[in-house]
Amino acid sequence: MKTLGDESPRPPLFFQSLELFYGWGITIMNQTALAVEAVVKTYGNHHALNGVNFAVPAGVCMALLGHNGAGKTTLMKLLLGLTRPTSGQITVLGTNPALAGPEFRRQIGFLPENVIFHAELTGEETLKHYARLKGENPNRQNELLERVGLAHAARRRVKGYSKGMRQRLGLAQALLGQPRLLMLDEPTTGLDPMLRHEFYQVIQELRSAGVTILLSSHVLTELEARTDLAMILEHGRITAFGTLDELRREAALPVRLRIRASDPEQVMTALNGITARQTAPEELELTAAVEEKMTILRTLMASGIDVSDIEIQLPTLDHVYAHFGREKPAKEEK
Amino acid sequence: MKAIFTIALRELRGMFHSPLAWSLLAVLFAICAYMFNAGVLTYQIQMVEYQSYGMRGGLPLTERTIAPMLGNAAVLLLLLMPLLSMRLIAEEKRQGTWPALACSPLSPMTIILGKYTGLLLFLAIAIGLLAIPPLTLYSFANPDTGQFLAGLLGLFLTAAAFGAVGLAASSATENPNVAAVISFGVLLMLWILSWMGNASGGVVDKMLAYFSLLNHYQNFLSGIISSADLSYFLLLSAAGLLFARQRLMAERIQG
Repeated sequence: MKTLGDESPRPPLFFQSLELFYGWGITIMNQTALAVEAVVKTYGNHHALNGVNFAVPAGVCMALLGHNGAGKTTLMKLLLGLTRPTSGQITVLGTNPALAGPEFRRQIGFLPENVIFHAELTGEETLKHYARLKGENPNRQNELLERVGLAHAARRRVKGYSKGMRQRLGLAQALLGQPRLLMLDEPTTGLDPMLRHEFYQVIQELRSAGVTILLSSHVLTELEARTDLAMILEHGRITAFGTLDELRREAALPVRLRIRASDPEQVMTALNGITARQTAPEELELTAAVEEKMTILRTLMASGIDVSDIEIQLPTLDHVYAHFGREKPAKEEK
Repeated sequence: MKAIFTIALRELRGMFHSPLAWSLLAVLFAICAYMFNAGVLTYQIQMVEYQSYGMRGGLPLTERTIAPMLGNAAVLLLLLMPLLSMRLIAEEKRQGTWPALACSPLSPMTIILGKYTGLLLFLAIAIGLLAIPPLTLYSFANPDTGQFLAGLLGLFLTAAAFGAVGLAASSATENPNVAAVISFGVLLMLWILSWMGNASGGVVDKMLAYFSLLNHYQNFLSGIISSADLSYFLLLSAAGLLFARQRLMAERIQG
């Protein structure tokens, strides 16, 4: 049993993300929520997924990224047991989802992209309906509606709901029965910034409660600080998988430094050999490899130059995504 | 079981929230009531003619008034049921309400039975309405109650079989209109199957006669409830439901 502080050797890349748990002191044995091994899914001649391998520990929030048609929805359908892989093996919460019974489905919450509910029901009735289908207490709906900020519209018909309200009702529906695994396909579509913020607060609470969350979204900036893992799919293959730090390291993307100094010329001289660009009378911008960052800072400190501010911009998930998105064709050419 | 009724009641509610169900009931009731009145008036004229020839006894009231109305009601339902049953699965898929149901912890058969039960509840209401005009006969005549009830049971079973075929068609496509066309085509074919008469001869003729919906329904209209007819309708309904279940299971395999 591996626990916090275990000095065992670094796990293979496949399970590197389990390291997150070392820090949190959570036992990792039997804690893998999702395990996908050599999964291929074909529709006729089209390979929707082509040899996908990954494992996600329980209690993690993972971002599933990729262009339209990359295979994200197919992967979600496979994990939900709504379709079976052509080959390979999938284990979700210790069960094969395609063969699992009602007990398995009760532990899963799913919010489909562009969720739609029966227009004639009110929000309250919708949740009661799905609670009954899930075999859950149908009287928990007020608590859930409150949680997603829809208590005021509980008795309004769904047909009068805005897109954002429908999304929130969808989230409430997915939360019925306190799921152990939550799959959210484009959950923030149609939500304004305030609602997005509230939505991620709910996600944060669930994460803290140990719920495993799989989140697919095109809005990368909002995922960056809120997910533990990211997986990038391209043409049915995984091009990147790991924590954001791991992906940054793997991509070896440069950091951007913006230096404010009274004499930019002096800074350029001190940083001899590093190309810098003057962007304002007292401002320089330069890019460098991550490992050079500290050397630059030390050089500047040692030079005694009057530096008023240094802004360090690490590669964002947007940059990482763009990098791995571009990398794929190159790999194929090889 | 609870889940079946939850789906059935939502289905029924959904039907009555759409103008389609109301208009179907209105059209069905108006046309059947008109045909029934026409039948009663014709019966009265025929009785006068019959008695004017000095013939004894009377004409069979139920066979000349209620049975033709119920017979025509089945033809009307053959036209209208595909419009109602096409919604059951295909419309849900088209509207986008299907994923939430498909991801629930229910088996495909529970979903199918829930939807079918909802349809049967609607049919029970429709047939209850259609029973009203014949019931008025009791105020001034004595129709054959046994034949009347057998006819109503036959109509319910026929419509239930229509619904099961419609549900099967609805599971086979994501386009409700295509589902309606398929279901109408299959039902009409089953209805007219015995029109070939004795032309084909032998075993084929017997088989066509057995598979014809019309032949089995006519026995009910004549007041005959036989196990052969009951099992025909039950088997046809079960076949429709099993087909729909297989379609949903296949979707889970193929995606």
